[in-house]
Amino acid sequence: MKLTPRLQWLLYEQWETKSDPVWSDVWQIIADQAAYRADPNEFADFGVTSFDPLGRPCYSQLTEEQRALVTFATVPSSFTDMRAISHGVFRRLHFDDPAQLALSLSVGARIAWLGHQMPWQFRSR
Amino acid sequence: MLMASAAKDHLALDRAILLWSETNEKPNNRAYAAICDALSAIRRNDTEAVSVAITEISKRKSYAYITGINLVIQATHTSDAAAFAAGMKKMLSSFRRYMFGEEFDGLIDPFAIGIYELAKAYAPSAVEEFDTTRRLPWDAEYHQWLSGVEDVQDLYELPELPNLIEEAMTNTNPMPWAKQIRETW
Repeated sequence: MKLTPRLQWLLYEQWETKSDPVWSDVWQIIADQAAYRADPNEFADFGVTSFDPLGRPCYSQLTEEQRALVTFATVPSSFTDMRAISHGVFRRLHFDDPAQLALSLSVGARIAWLGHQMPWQFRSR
Repeated sequence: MLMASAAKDHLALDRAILLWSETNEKPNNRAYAAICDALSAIRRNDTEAVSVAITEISKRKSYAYITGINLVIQATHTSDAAAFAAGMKKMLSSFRRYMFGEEFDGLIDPFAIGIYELAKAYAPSAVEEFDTTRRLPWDAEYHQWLSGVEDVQDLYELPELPNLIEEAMTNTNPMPWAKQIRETW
């Protein structure tokens, strides 16, 4: 794609303000968010304090892996579908490579799917 | 759904549609719910379900971008090429505002690409009058590149996935435990 001066500026500005996370950075951001997974009390600190019909905190009935998945998929600052778009647009323009956009959209769609799998009781508020 | 369609990620698209059909949790905004119903039906090639969803859509008034999507869905169903092109134009012209006015995030509209791909598979004649060489936020080069792609999964391996989510992201198999919690709590 031919980059007009305006597009070049926008690209530069995006780089300056948000940089270009490579995939390992994306996963690291999310892994940091999910680092609390081993501790149910930390997990509850996300605002995940729903209770099941017997009055038990929902998270206490999840395995560690399930808690991690919930955390991964629902923390607000993780790699959401909207961030997938800007990530993909940046990489598509920066590398002049349509496949970069497709990859970001695909990952974004799968993360969105993962998030919607998660019970609403665990969505961060 | 539209992101998956825009990437030609058929597995993710079909998983999203399956999840949509299974979950009782629908968006508060009924316009979104009706659109998801319509897109699912278009993907399944279920003309009757598309018709039902359009009836629901036509009851709702919404802002410009969503109105554009509604026009595109209706034109797809009736194979009205002129109306389809008009709907796409409305979507694209209001995309940046839909993206909260963000100039960068509003550069390329992946949802327009996604809905075009769904429409083309459902009713090829519907898309005939839409100018696929038009400028941004329609990405003409991306569209051209995508036309040579059968399934994006043929092209990539998910990059450096953490073990935690590798299975979920790679195979997108439904998680019975999550479904059970969604349905019983």
